[in-house]
Amino acid sequence: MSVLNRSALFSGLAALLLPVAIGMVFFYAPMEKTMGSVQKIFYFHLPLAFSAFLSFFVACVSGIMYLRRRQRVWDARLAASVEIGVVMTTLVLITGSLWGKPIWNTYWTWDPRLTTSLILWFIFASCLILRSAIDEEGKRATFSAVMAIVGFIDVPIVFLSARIWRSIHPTVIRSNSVGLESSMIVTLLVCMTAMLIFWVGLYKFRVSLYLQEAKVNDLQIDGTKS
Amino acid sequence: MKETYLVIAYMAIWIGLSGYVVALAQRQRKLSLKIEVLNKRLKVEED
Repeated sequence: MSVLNRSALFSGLAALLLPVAIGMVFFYAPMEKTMGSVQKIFYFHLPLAFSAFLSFFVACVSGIMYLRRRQRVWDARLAASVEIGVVMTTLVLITGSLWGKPIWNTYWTWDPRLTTSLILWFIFASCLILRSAIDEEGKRATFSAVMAIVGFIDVPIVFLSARIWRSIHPTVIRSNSVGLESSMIVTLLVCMTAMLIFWVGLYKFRVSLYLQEAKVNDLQIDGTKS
Repeated sequence: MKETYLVIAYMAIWIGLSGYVVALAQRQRKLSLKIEVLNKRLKVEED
């Protein structure tokens, strides 16, 4: 099966699962007593955050592999995952702020979890800007590989920030339990699966698009030389 | 009031994600146009 077909398969699966997940959020998951309906933001806020972390992990691994092997495919994987990760982190910050306003009475507070997440967004957004600023392929790939590896250090810091420092951000998944009712856990797992499948489809599509663009650019350069 | 934030959040998620997918699809279309132009140029050179 070709890469594009696999991407279409995952996208199709996501297109089937995402409406099911949304339906479960609104018609299956119970209403949370204290927060009310606004708690339902959480069912996509957490999968988006998890997908963003996965993106930056893939970017870090791709960066290491690129520095070892110097192959274009690893740079394509890095570029795709950083781009998707930035989109997901942006949505995490927006949905988090929209949840924060009715619950904390403010869109933003300099809480450790929020601050480290914003730093994460800045690191990888600047990696994208850096990529668009460098024309030479090898240099661009090396710089962004180093940036993705160093930037990944912030991911465990974001994850642990609410546990290490004094934070007002809720920690639903604890080391010994999950602070949710069973129907909420089922809904969350469906949302998580749907988002991960969507992520795989998007990632495969972005990698293949990057590689095709690079090949066409090579052909254009060869054409102008000859 | 809380429902407003819920609606805005879900709209932000789906507009954001579908906007990104549409942007990628546009990029793919531009690329296929580029490939067509290259193909035509190649045919002209062969003739």
